[in-house]
Formats: sequence, structure tokens, C-alpha cells
Amino acid sequence: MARRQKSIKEVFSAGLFKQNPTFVQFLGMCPTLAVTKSVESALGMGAGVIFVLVMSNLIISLIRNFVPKEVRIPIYIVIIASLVTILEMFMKAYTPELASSLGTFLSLIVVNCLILGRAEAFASKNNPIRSVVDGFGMALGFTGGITIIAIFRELFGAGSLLGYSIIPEQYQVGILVQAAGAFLVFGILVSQVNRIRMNKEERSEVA
Amino acid sequence: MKHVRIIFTLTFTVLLTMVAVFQINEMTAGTIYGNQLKKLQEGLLKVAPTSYDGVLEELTGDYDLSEIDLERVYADQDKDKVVVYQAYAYGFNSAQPISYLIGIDLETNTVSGFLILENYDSDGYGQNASNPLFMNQFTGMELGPVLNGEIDGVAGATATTGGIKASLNEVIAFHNTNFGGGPVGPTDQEIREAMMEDIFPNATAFDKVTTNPANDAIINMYNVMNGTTQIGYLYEATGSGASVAGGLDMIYYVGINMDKEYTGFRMYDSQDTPGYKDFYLADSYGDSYNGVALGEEDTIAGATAGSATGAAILASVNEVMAYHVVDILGEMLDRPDPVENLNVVNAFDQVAASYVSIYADQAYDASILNVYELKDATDTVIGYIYYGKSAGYGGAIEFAIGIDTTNNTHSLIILKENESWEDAKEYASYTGDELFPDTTWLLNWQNDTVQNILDAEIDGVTGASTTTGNRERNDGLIFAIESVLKYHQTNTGGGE
Repeated sequence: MARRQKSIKEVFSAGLFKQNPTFVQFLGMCPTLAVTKSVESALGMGAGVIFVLVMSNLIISLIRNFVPKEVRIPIYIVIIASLVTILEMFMKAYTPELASSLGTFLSLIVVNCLILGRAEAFASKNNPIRSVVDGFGMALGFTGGITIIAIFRELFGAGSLLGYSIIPEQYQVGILVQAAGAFLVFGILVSQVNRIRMNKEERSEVA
Repeated sequence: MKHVRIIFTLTFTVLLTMVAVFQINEMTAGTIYGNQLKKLQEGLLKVAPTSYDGVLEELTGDYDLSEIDLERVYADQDKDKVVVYQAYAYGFNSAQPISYLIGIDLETNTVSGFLILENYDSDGYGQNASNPLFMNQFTGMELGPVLNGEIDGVAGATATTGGIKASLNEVIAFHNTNFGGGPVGPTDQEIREAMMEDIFPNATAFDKVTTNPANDAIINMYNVMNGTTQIGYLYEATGSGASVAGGLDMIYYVGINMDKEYTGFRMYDSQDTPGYKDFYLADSYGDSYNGVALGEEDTIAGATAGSATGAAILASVNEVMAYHVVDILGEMLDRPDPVENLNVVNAFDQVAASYVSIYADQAYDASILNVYELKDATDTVIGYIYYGKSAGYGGAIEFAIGIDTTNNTHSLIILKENESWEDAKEYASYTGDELFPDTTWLLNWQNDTVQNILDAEIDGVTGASTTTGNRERNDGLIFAIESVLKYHQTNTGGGE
């Protein structure tokens, strides 16, 4: 008997919590560490990933029955690369400040494993509506993940949130806005997420 | 069949995405270019001098920029107030160069601002170059230091700041070539003229004497005029400084008025050690010549640090002075009466029946205080004693050397000195324990023919180079004693 198909709601929430790309699947680590210096760039990167992932999941799901399986990966990559190029053009045209603060990492969305991963694992096997919901959920989970990291780094590292100063300079932890700070915050957050997940599993086993 | 399908799908996908990307590009390219231009325009205002509020025109098309990493050139309408360059620097991320603006205030020839427009280098490293602390250091800097890369780097951004330095070097070189006509300080000619006027403030004209003076030290000679009246002579001369690298080590101007007094001195160029030569480059040193009579150069004070430079200058000035007196004025120099010193008799091995000063009848030499003719009981000349002087480290050195009628030197004795050869012991070339007046170095000059000694070209002592002197520099004992020996050959007849 075929496995029971997940409901749309489950598909959506999977990306947000159970299979959160940042804290559970560890996908797209490069931007996770690089653009989380400020909440603004984290949100910007998140928005970019939402656009690319929803669109790529939609398109790949639409063409899933026409693509010969031998060349599916090259075709996915061409589609993702085009979407990222389009996103980059839009951002440079309409949000130039954000584009320059994301810099190279905007183009690097192409190689974000999350996107190719969802194309291969989900969109190529599911219908467009479910694929779009999956893409949206996953991208939202990713955005949430990096935003949380960015909140910690910007607040304690630079003493501000979205550019507004909150903590005076003498109480800031400068290392948090540096590359090493990204690993520190990320490690601590992952440990907490794991603690919650394990507690939950223990409880469900007891039940 | 399957292959056809694969090829078709691939081609179709690529074509479709190409069309999509092309369309979006059409849509956004204008806006993106507008954004960049806006950023550039805002940047131009930031790097231009705050006093400048006019329009900047793009002049990029006027120059060939193919060889350098310059993207755009802007200047004000008259090209005399400000120039702004947009240039590229290759930092750590060489695939995406750093784009920056540098503004140059043409009125002061300093940097009016520096701004990095695009920097794709790593966060926390090369990105630090975009920090205002780094960028603001350029404001007000002179172009020379910028050209030479005298810029404080940023920790973690070594490659990036290195790339920026290299690029700035090119940009400033380009600037100097194309906009170097601006006020960059006085020209060489203006510097020289100012020095000449310092020496003769009342001059209305400096008439260059076109025939080359027959003297190695003199480069140019001017008759200094006030209206139609000649008020003096100005010499542009050269000599070897204390750092003897050979060749023309220093170039200076010295003026002599019609009363046989110096009117001033100006060092135009000296290759001597910075710190040591500074004293002699200063106007205060040059002004100390004012009013000093020819032949009294010893009264001109040098600096303690750099005494060798001072001695070298005086030696060269002495040459000019001698030329002036003998060749220009055609006379012997008015000089103090020959100095008497009874101790000179020890320079000659034999005791003579009479010691008669004959200096007053002979040509003047700056190194000679007196010349004695020695005769025996039968009134036959048996030799000469020369009483000489040289500038030492601790002040004037006086010496005497006896030469007999066969042109053999007798003793070289030091009559007055305040030297410290103790210091010279540290150096390899001086191994004796003797203090200065008894040093074995003096034996080099004794008991040999004048010609042999001159041919031997006796070296100075390392560590006591001011005392012993230096042949190329024309100073110290070497110069003074050799002057005496040559004087003996040409003037006293020396029995020849």
C-alpha cells in the first residue's frame, strides 16, 4: 500500500518546524552564516529565497512529466539559475541598497542546496499546488531560521535591531557580528532546538 | 528517439529561460544603470572639495584609459578646481574589483575625498576598507604620499588595501601627467631665482658669464648688476659632500660683493645624509656668510652633527674663492701677515742657520699659514718648512712639514689640534694605540719624495674621516697636506 500522502497543511508546516532547513536539515549554510549580521539582510535574503524556491518548485512541478530523467538536474539548474538572475536584476533595480549589502550571496542562491534539494525531493514528484506550498513553507522556515540568528547577532553584537540602536556600545559583544560569531550563535541555537525536539520525542514515546 | 527528446528538452529549456532573462533585463537595465549613476553622482559630490558646488563634467572620452584601471574622469568646466576619478582596484576578490572615487582639489593639489562605491571583498576583512576611518584618512593628503602608498592599511584587509594602493599609484601618476600643470609648488627655475635673489636682494639683473670658468667647482658665474652698476659676483658651484658617492654631490650658490666679502650662500641640492645636511640647507646657515671677508671662511660656523658636510662645503667654497681672487680679480688675496710659530723648526731634520718667512712673496693658499726658507751658515738654501692648517673634527688643526731641496719630506708634526682619535680605535683600519699627534698615519707623509707621496694617494682613516679628510671631498688633512705638497712643486720652485 502506498504511503499516506501528507495533507497540504502538513506539507506547509514541515518546512517551518519538523524539517526546518536551517536548524534541522542544515541546508543553505553558506548564507545562513554570511548574511545574518543584520536582520535586514537576513529578511532580504529570505525574501529572495522565497521567490526563487516558490517559482522553481512551481515550474519544475509543471514540467516534471516532460523532463527526461537523465537530464533533469541540468534542467533544474538552468531554471534555478535563471530565476536567481532575474531576482538579482529586480533587486538591483528596485532595492539597490539591499542588493549591495547581500553582495555575492545574492548570486550564490543558485547553489543553495535547499532549492535544488526541494526540486529533486519534492517538486519533481508532486503537483504544482503542493509544490508551491512546500516551497513556500521551506523558504519561510529558512527565512525564520536565519532571521532568528540575525536577531541575536545584530542585537547583541551591534546593539541594534533593523538599524535602530538599542544596546549601548560598552555592552555589545563585538565577536557576534564577525564570522566566528555566526558559528557561535548558530551552534547555541541548534543545541536548544535539539533539546526541545528530544524532549518532545521522549514525551511521545512515553505517551 | 530518446536522445532527440533529451536534446529537444534541453534546448527548449535554455531558449525559454534565455528569453525570460532577456526580457527582465530589458525591463530593469535602465533602472539599474540609473541607480549606479545616482550613486556615482552622490559620490562625486562627497569627494569633491566642500568649497566646490558647481557641476562636474565627464571627460572620460578625452583620455586613453585602455592601459589603466580608470573608469571615468570628471572635472569642473575650467579644469582648474577639481578632478574626480572613478577607478578600479583589485583586492582579494579579483573577479569583482573594488570601485572607488578619488577627488583631487586642483587649487591645493591635495586629495579632497575618497569613497569606495562597490566592495565585494569578504565581510570582516576586505570589507573593512569601506570603513569611513580608512576612507577619511585620504582627505587633505598631498599627492606625493598617496603616489608612494604612504597609506595606513586596515587590519584584515591587507590584500584589499594593497590593491587600492597599487591602483592609486596609477591614478595619481595619470593625474600628474594630465593635470600636473596645476599649482604644484615653485618650479626649479623659480627656486634657483629665489636663491639668487636671497644672496643679492638689490640685484636688478644676473648677467650670466657665457665663457665657462676654467674651474671644476664652478658651474656658472653671473655678474650681478644693479641697473648698470655691478654690485657683485654670483657663483653656482658644485663639490663633493660628506657622502662621497662620486660626481656632483652638492650644488650651491655663493655671492661675493665688490668689497671682497661674501654676501650669502644657498645650498640648492645636497646628496648628504638627511638630518646632517639640514643645517646647511637652511637660510640661517647661508645668511651667516653675509659680510664675511674672503679668506675668513673659518669663522663660518658649521653644525656639530654634520661637521663633515660643513667642512666639505667650506673646502669647495675655498676653491671658488681662490678662483675668484686669482682668475677674476687677477690679484693675490689680501690676507693676514704670515703667522709665526717657532715650533715649526722641528719639522726639518737639520737645524738651520736662518728661518726666513717668504710667504708674503708667494701665492696665497688657503691651507698655508706661512712658508719658511731655511738656509745654512753659508747662506745656501737647504729646504723649506710649510706651516699649514686644516679643518678637523674638534676645530682647526695646525701642522708643519719640512721639505728639503731634493724634494724629500722630513717630518710632519702637529702643532695644534683638538681631535679624539680614541674613537677611531674602534675601526679596523686604525690599529695604533697612539693619540692623534703621534699617530702612525702621519708617517705616511714623511721621508719620501713629494711626487711619490702624491702618487700614493694616501687614504683617510675610517672613523676619523673628518680629521684625516677625503681626497674626493677636498677636505681634512689629506687635502691640506696635498695642497702644501702641490704648492711646493708649483710655487716655491722646490729646487726644480
